[in-house]
Amino acid sequence: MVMKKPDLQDPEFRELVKQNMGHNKYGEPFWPNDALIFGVVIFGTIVGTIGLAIMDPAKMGEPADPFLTPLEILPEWYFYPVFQILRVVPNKLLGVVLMLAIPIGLAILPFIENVNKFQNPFRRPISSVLFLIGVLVTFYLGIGAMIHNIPKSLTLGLF
Amino acid sequence: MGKTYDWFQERLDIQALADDVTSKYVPPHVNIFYCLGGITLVAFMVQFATGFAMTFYYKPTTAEAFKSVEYIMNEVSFGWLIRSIHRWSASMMVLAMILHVFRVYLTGGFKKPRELTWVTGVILSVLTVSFGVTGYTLPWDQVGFWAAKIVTQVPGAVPVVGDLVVLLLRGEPGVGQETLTRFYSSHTFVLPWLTAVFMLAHFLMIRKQGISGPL
Repeated sequence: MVMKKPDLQDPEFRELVKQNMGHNKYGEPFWPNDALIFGVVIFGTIVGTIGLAIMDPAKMGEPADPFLTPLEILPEWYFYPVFQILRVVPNKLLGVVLMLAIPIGLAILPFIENVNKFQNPFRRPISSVLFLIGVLVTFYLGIGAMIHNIPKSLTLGLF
Repeated sequence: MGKTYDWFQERLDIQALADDVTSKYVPPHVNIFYCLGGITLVAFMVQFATGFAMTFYYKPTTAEAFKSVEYIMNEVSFGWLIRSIHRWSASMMVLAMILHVFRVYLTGGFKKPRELTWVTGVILSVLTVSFGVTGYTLPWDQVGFWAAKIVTQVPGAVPVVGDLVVLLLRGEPGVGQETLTRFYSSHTFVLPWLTAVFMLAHFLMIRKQGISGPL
Protein backbone atom coordinates (compact mmCIF):
# COMPACT_ATOMS: atom_id res chain seq x y z
CA MET A 1 0.00 0.00 0.00
CA VAL A 2 1.34 3.44 -0.96
CA MET A 3 1.73 5.52 2.16
CA LYS A 4 2.67 9.18 2.15
CA LYS A 5 4.99 9.99 5.07
CA PRO A 6 4.32 13.17 7.06
CA ASP A 7 6.60 15.94 5.76
CA LEU A 8 8.21 17.05 9.02
CA GLN A 9 10.43 19.58 7.19
CA ASP A 10 7.37 21.60 6.10
CA PRO A 11 6.93 24.43 8.63
CA GLU A 12 3.28 24.89 7.61
CA PHE A 13 2.53 21.22 8.39
CA ARG A 14 4.34 21.40 11.74
CA GLU A 15 2.33 24.47 12.67
CA LEU A 16 -0.92 22.62 11.83
CA VAL A 17 0.08 19.51 13.81
CA LYS A 18 0.88 21.72 16.79
CA GLN A 19 -2.79 22.78 16.68
CA ASN A 20 -3.91 19.11 16.40
CA MET A 21 -4.77 19.56 12.72
CA GLY A 22 -3.20 18.55 9.41
CA HIS A 23 -3.84 14.82 9.92
CA ASN A 24 -5.31 14.63 6.42
CA LYS A 25 -1.89 15.36 4.89
CA TYR A 26 -0.21 11.97 5.36
CA GLY A 27 -1.07 8.29 5.16
CA GLU A 28 -3.06 6.46 2.51
CA PRO A 29 -4.45 8.53 -0.41
CA PHE A 30 -8.21 9.06 -0.04
CA TRP A 31 -8.70 8.65 -3.79
CA PRO A 32 -9.21 5.90 -4.81
CA ASN A 33 -8.40 3.70 -1.76
CA ASP A 34 -10.78 5.07 0.83
CA ALA A 35 -13.36 6.24 -1.68
CA LEU A 36 -13.77 2.52 -2.46
CA ILE A 37 -14.29 1.75 1.24
CA PHE A 38 -16.89 4.55 1.34
CA GLY A 39 -18.77 2.71 -1.42
CA VAL A 40 -18.56 -0.63 0.38
CA VAL A 41 -19.81 0.84 3.69
CA ILE A 42 -22.65 2.79 2.04
CA PHE A 43 -23.72 -0.28 0.06
CA GLY A 44 -23.46 -2.53 3.14
CA THR A 45 -25.51 -0.15 5.29
CA ILE A 46 -28.31 0.09 2.74
CA VAL A 47 -28.37 -3.64 1.98
CA GLY A 48 -28.29 -4.52 5.70
CA THR A 49 -31.21 -2.23 6.43
CA ILE A 50 -33.26 -3.60 3.53
CA GLY A 51 -32.46 -7.14 4.70
CA LEU A 52 -33.68 -6.41 8.22
CA ALA A 53 -36.82 -4.75 6.82
CA ILE A 54 -37.63 -7.84 4.73
CA MET A 55 -36.94 -10.30 7.55
CA ASP A 56 -38.88 -8.35 10.18
CA PRO A 57 -41.33 -5.91 8.52
CA ALA A 58 -43.02 -3.13 10.52
CA LYS A 59 -46.35 -4.13 12.03
CA MET A 60 -49.67 -2.35 12.43
CA GLY A 61 -50.84 -1.53 15.96
CA GLU A 62 -54.37 -0.96 17.19
CA PRO A 63 -56.09 2.29 16.10
CA ALA A 64 -55.74 5.09 18.69
CA ASP A 65 -58.45 5.11 21.37
CA PRO A 66 -58.30 8.18 23.67
CA PHE A 67 -60.60 6.43 26.17
CA LEU A 68 -58.59 3.25 26.57
CA THR A 69 -55.26 3.69 28.38
CA PRO A 70 -52.92 0.78 27.59
CA LEU A 71 -51.61 -1.05 30.68
CA GLU A 72 -47.98 -1.03 29.62
CA ILE A 73 -46.51 1.50 27.27
CA LEU A 74 -42.91 1.73 26.16
CA PRO A 75 -41.21 4.26 23.87
CA GLU A 76 -38.54 3.39 21.26
CA TRP A 77 -35.60 1.46 22.75
CA TYR A 78 -33.26 4.45 22.79
CA PHE A 79 -35.60 6.28 25.16
CA TYR A 80 -35.67 3.46 27.73
CA PRO A 81 -33.05 5.01 30.11
CA VAL A 82 -34.70 8.46 30.02
CA PHE A 83 -38.15 6.88 30.33
CA GLN A 84 -36.94 5.05 33.46
CA ILE A 85 -35.55 8.30 34.96
CA LEU A 86 -38.90 10.07 34.43
CA ARG A 87 -40.80 7.07 35.82
CA VAL A 88 -38.67 6.39 38.90
CA VAL A 89 -37.68 9.88 40.14
CA PRO A 90 -40.50 10.86 42.54
CA ASN A 91 -40.16 14.60 41.94
CA LYS A 92 -41.31 15.29 38.37
CA LEU A 93 -39.36 18.56 38.12
CA LEU A 94 -36.16 16.78 39.16
CA GLY A 95 -36.87 14.17 36.48
CA VAL A 96 -37.13 16.87 33.79
CA VAL A 97 -33.92 18.50 35.06
CA LEU A 98 -32.08 15.15 34.94
CA MET A 99 -33.40 14.56 31.42
CA LEU A 100 -32.22 18.00 30.21
CA ALA A 101 -28.89 17.48 32.00
CA ILE A 102 -27.98 14.74 29.48
CA PRO A 103 -27.71 16.92 26.32
CA ILE A 104 -26.54 19.99 28.26
CA GLY A 105 -23.87 17.97 30.06
CA LEU A 106 -22.71 16.46 26.76
CA ALA A 107 -22.58 19.90 25.11
CA ILE A 108 -20.31 21.43 27.78
CA LEU A 109 -18.18 18.29 28.10
CA PRO A 110 -15.31 19.40 25.78
CA PHE A 111 -14.96 22.67 27.65
CA ILE A 112 -14.59 20.81 30.96
CA GLU A 113 -12.28 18.13 29.59
CA ASN A 114 -9.93 20.58 27.87
CA VAL A 115 -8.06 20.84 31.22
CA ASN A 116 -6.37 17.59 30.09
CA LYS A 117 -5.08 17.72 26.52
CA PHE A 118 -4.54 13.95 26.16
CA GLN A 119 -6.80 12.06 23.79
CA ASN A 120 -5.84 8.55 24.88
CA PRO A 121 -8.45 7.16 27.30
CA PHE A 122 -5.66 5.66 29.44
CA ARG A 123 -4.12 9.12 29.86
CA ARG A 124 -7.38 10.59 31.15
CA PRO A 125 -8.43 7.92 33.65
CA ILE A 126 -11.05 9.99 35.51
CA SER A 127 -13.12 10.67 32.40
CA SER A 128 -12.68 7.08 31.20
CA VAL A 129 -13.95 5.67 34.51
CA LEU A 130 -16.87 8.13 34.51
CA PHE A 131 -17.63 7.05 30.92
CA LEU A 132 -17.75 3.38 31.92
CA ILE A 133 -19.95 4.14 34.95
CA GLY A 134 -22.22 6.23 32.73
CA VAL A 135 -22.59 3.38 30.24
CA LEU A 136 -23.36 0.89 33.04
CA VAL A 137 -25.94 3.22 34.61
CA THR A 138 -27.54 3.76 31.20
CA PHE A 139 -27.85 -0.01 30.65
CA TYR A 140 -29.16 -0.46 34.21
CA LEU A 141 -31.84 2.20 33.62
CA GLY A 142 -32.65 0.84 30.18
CA ILE A 143 -33.17 -2.72 31.44
CA GLY A 144 -35.19 -1.35 34.37
CA ALA A 145 -37.54 0.41 31.94
CA MET A 146 -38.54 -2.97 30.50
CA ILE A 147 -39.79 -4.16 33.92
CA HIS A 148 -43.28 -2.79 34.43
CA ASN A 149 -43.30 -3.10 38.25
CA ILE A 150 -41.35 -0.04 39.50
CA PRO A 151 -39.85 -1.43 42.77
CA LYS A 152 -38.81 -4.56 40.89
CA SER A 153 -37.33 -2.44 38.08
CA LEU A 154 -34.95 -0.79 40.59
CA THR A 155 -33.38 -4.11 41.61
CA LEU A 156 -33.93 -5.63 38.15
CA GLY A 157 -35.66 -8.48 40.02
CA LEU A 158 -32.28 -9.80 41.17
CA PHE A 159 -32.68 -9.27 44.92
CA MET B 1 -15.94 13.57 -21.87
CA GLY B 2 -13.25 16.10 -22.80
CA LYS B 3 -15.73 18.61 -24.19
CA THR B 4 -18.11 18.29 -21.24
CA TYR B 5 -15.18 18.67 -18.86
CA ASP B 6 -13.98 21.78 -20.67
CA TRP B 7 -17.49 23.28 -20.69
CA PHE B 8 -17.82 22.97 -16.91
CA GLN B 9 -14.15 23.77 -16.27
CA GLU B 10 -14.45 27.12 -18.08
CA ARG B 11 -17.47 28.07 -15.95
CA LEU B 12 -17.05 26.44 -12.54
CA ASP B 13 -13.40 25.37 -12.26
CA ILE B 14 -14.38 21.78 -11.45
CA GLN B 15 -10.70 20.80 -11.48
CA ALA B 16 -10.41 22.51 -8.08
CA LEU B 17 -12.94 20.03 -6.64
CA ALA B 18 -11.07 17.06 -8.08
CA ASP B 19 -7.75 18.42 -6.79
CA ASP B 20 -9.28 18.91 -3.33
CA VAL B 21 -10.44 15.27 -3.16
CA THR B 22 -7.22 13.81 -4.56
CA SER B 23 -4.98 15.90 -2.26
CA LYS B 24 -6.50 14.38 0.90
CA TYR B 25 -4.87 11.52 2.80
CA VAL B 26 -6.16 9.16 5.48
CA PRO B 27 -3.68 8.69 8.36
CA PRO B 28 -2.95 5.15 9.64
CA HIS B 29 -4.73 5.57 13.01
CA VAL B 30 -8.07 5.80 11.20
CA ASN B 31 -9.91 2.47 11.52
CA ILE B 32 -13.33 0.94 10.88
CA PHE B 33 -14.89 2.78 13.85
CA TYR B 34 -14.34 6.07 12.03
CA CYS B 35 -17.08 4.90 9.61
CA LEU B 36 -19.85 5.23 12.19
CA GLY B 37 -20.53 8.91 11.54
CA GLY B 38 -20.80 8.20 7.82
CA ILE B 39 -23.13 5.26 8.49
CA THR B 40 -25.34 7.65 10.50
CA LEU B 41 -25.44 9.97 7.48
CA VAL B 42 -26.29 7.09 5.12
CA ALA B 43 -29.11 6.00 7.45
CA PHE B 44 -30.38 9.60 7.46
CA MET B 45 -30.40 9.70 3.67
CA VAL B 46 -32.31 6.40 3.59
CA GLN B 47 -34.80 8.01 6.01
CA PHE B 48 -35.07 11.04 3.75
CA ALA B 49 -35.81 8.94 0.66
CA THR B 50 -38.25 6.48 2.27
CA GLY B 51 -39.98 9.23 4.29
CA PHE B 52 -40.40 11.31 1.15
CA ALA B 53 -41.98 8.32 -0.59
CA MET B 54 -44.46 7.81 2.26
CA THR B 55 -45.62 11.46 2.21
CA PHE B 56 -47.33 10.58 -1.12
CA TYR B 57 -49.80 8.28 0.68
CA TYR B 58 -49.83 9.26 4.35
CA LYS B 59 -52.72 11.50 5.49
CA PRO B 60 -52.00 13.47 8.69
CA THR B 61 -55.52 13.56 10.10
CA THR B 62 -56.78 11.72 13.16
CA ALA B 63 -59.55 10.15 11.07
CA GLU B 64 -57.37 8.96 8.20
CA ALA B 65 -53.81 8.54 9.50
CA PHE B 66 -54.19 4.94 10.68
CA LYS B 67 -56.11 3.92 7.57
CA SER B 68 -53.55 5.57 5.28
CA VAL B 69 -50.71 3.68 7.00
CA GLU B 70 -52.72 0.48 6.60
CA TYR B 71 -53.11 1.37 2.92
CA ILE B 72 -49.33 1.85 2.62
CA MET B 73 -48.77 -1.56 4.24
CA ASN B 74 -51.39 -3.52 2.26
CA GLU B 75 -52.13 -1.78 -1.04
CA VAL B 76 -49.25 0.41 -2.20
CA SER B 77 -46.61 -1.42 -4.28
CA PHE B 78 -43.67 -2.13 -1.96
CA GLY B 79 -45.27 0.24 0.58
CA TRP B 80 -44.70 -2.34 3.32
CA LEU B 81 -41.03 -2.48 2.37
CA ILE B 82 -40.60 1.30 2.32
CA ARG B 83 -42.23 1.68 5.74
CA SER B 84 -40.27 -1.25 7.19
CA ILE B 85 -37.00 0.22 5.92
CA HIS B 86 -37.99 3.57 7.43
CA ARG B 87 -38.52 1.94 10.86
CA TRP B 88 -35.35 -0.16 10.76
CA SER B 89 -33.21 2.65 9.40
CA ALA B 90 -34.46 4.93 12.19
CA SER B 91 -33.18 2.47 14.78
CA MET B 92 -29.95 1.94 12.87
CA MET B 93 -29.39 5.68 12.61
CA VAL B 94 -29.69 6.11 16.40
CA LEU B 95 -27.52 3.03 17.03
CA ALA B 96 -24.79 4.20 14.64
CA MET B 97 -25.00 7.68 16.16
CA ILE B 98 -24.54 6.36 19.72
CA LEU B 99 -21.56 4.24 18.64
CA HIS B 100 -20.15 7.27 16.77
CA VAL B 101 -20.37 9.29 20.01
CA PHE B 102 -18.52 6.46 21.80
CA ARG B 103 -15.77 6.47 19.16
CA VAL B 104 -15.35 10.24 19.29
CA TYR B 105 -15.36 10.25 23.08
CA LEU B 106 -12.88 7.40 23.51
CA THR B 107 -10.43 8.75 20.91
CA GLY B 108 -10.67 12.26 22.40
CA GLY B 109 -11.72 13.63 19.03
CA PHE B 110 -13.89 16.28 20.70
CA LYS B 111 -10.92 18.09 22.29
CA LYS B 112 -9.40 21.39 21.19
CA PRO B 113 -9.79 22.59 18.43
CA ARG B 114 -12.91 20.46 17.71
CA GLU B 115 -15.25 21.55 20.54
CA LEU B 116 -17.75 23.20 18.21
CA THR B 117 -17.97 20.13 15.98
CA TRP B 118 -18.93 18.18 19.13
CA VAL B 119 -21.54 20.80 20.12
CA THR B 120 -23.20 20.62 16.68
CA GLY B 121 -23.09 16.84 17.09
CA VAL B 122 -24.97 17.06 20.39
CA ILE B 123 -27.58 19.27 18.68
CA LEU B 124 -27.84 16.71 15.85
CA SER B 125 -28.38 13.89 18.35
CA VAL B 126 -31.22 15.85 20.01
CA LEU B 127 -32.75 16.45 16.56
CA THR B 128 -32.40 12.75 15.70
CA VAL B 129 -34.26 11.53 18.77
CA SER B 130 -36.88 14.27 18.17
CA PHE B 131 -37.50 12.60 14.81
CA GLY B 132 -38.10 9.43 16.82
CA VAL B 133 -40.65 11.04 19.15
CA THR B 134 -42.64 12.73 16.39
CA GLY B 135 -42.47 9.79 13.98
CA TYR B 136 -43.64 7.31 16.63
CA THR B 137 -46.98 9.14 16.83
CA LEU B 138 -47.72 9.60 13.13
CA PRO B 139 -49.45 6.21 12.50
CA TRP B 140 -51.97 7.35 15.15
CA ASP B 141 -52.16 3.90 16.71
CA GLN B 142 -52.60 3.16 20.43
CA VAL B 143 -48.86 3.19 21.19
CA GLY B 144 -48.22 6.35 19.18
CA PHE B 145 -51.19 8.24 20.63
CA TRP B 146 -50.37 7.43 24.27
CA ALA B 147 -46.65 8.00 23.75
CA ALA B 148 -47.50 11.50 22.46
CA LYS B 149 -49.73 12.07 25.47
CA ILE B 150 -47.03 11.01 27.94
CA VAL B 151 -44.16 12.82 26.18
CA THR B 152 -46.00 16.13 25.78
CA GLN B 153 -47.01 16.27 29.44
CA VAL B 154 -43.39 15.93 30.65
CA PRO B 155 -42.58 19.69 30.45
CA GLY B 156 -45.71 20.32 32.57
CA ALA B 157 -43.61 19.64 35.68
CA VAL B 158 -41.60 22.81 35.08
CA PRO B 159 -42.94 25.77 37.09
CA VAL B 160 -44.25 28.96 35.39
CA VAL B 161 -43.53 28.08 31.71
CA GLY B 162 -44.31 24.34 31.87
CA ASP B 163 -47.99 24.51 30.90
CA LEU B 164 -47.18 26.92 28.09
CA VAL B 165 -44.63 24.49 26.66
CA VAL B 166 -47.16 21.65 26.87
CA LEU B 167 -49.67 23.78 24.95
CA LEU B 168 -46.98 24.68 22.41
CA LEU B 169 -46.20 21.00 21.81
CA ARG B 170 -49.84 19.87 21.71
CA GLY B 171 -51.53 22.86 20.09
CA GLU B 172 -54.61 22.14 22.23
CA PRO B 173 -55.29 21.14 25.85
CA GLY B 174 -55.51 17.43 25.04
CA VAL B 175 -53.79 15.37 22.34
CA GLY B 176 -55.70 15.48 19.05
CA GLN B 177 -55.67 16.79 15.48
CA GLU B 178 -53.62 19.89 16.37
CA THR B 179 -50.97 17.68 17.97
CA LEU B 180 -50.83 15.35 14.98
CA THR B 181 -50.50 18.33 12.64
CA ARG B 182 -47.65 19.75 14.70
CA PHE B 183 -45.86 16.42 14.92
CA TYR B 184 -46.25 15.87 11.17
CA SER B 185 -45.00 19.36 10.37
CA SER B 186 -42.01 18.91 12.70
CA HIS B 187 -41.21 15.44 11.41
CA THR B 188 -41.33 16.29 7.71
CA PHE B 189 -40.39 19.98 7.57
CA VAL B 190 -38.83 21.59 10.65
CA LEU B 191 -36.57 18.77 11.84
CA PRO B 192 -35.22 17.81 8.38
CA TRP B 193 -34.25 21.42 7.66
CA LEU B 194 -32.65 21.95 11.06
CA THR B 195 -30.79 18.66 10.66
CA ALA B 196 -29.54 19.66 7.20
CA VAL B 197 -28.25 22.99 8.54
CA PHE B 198 -26.44 21.47 11.53
CA MET B 199 -25.07 18.59 9.42
CA LEU B 200 -23.62 21.15 7.02
CA ALA B 201 -21.97 22.97 9.94
CA HIS B 202 -20.70 19.63 11.35
CA PHE B 203 -19.16 18.60 8.02
CA LEU B 204 -17.70 22.01 7.10
CA MET B 205 -15.88 22.11 10.43
CA ILE B 206 -14.54 18.59 9.87
CA ARG B 207 -13.35 19.56 6.36
CA LYS B 208 -11.70 22.71 7.72
CA GLN B 209 -9.81 21.01 10.57
CA GLY B 210 -9.25 17.57 9.09
CA ILE B 211 -9.57 14.33 11.02
CA SER B 212 -8.44 14.24 14.67
CA GLY B 213 -4.92 13.05 15.46
CA PRO B 214 -3.59 9.72 16.79
CA LEU B 215 -3.91 8.83 20.48
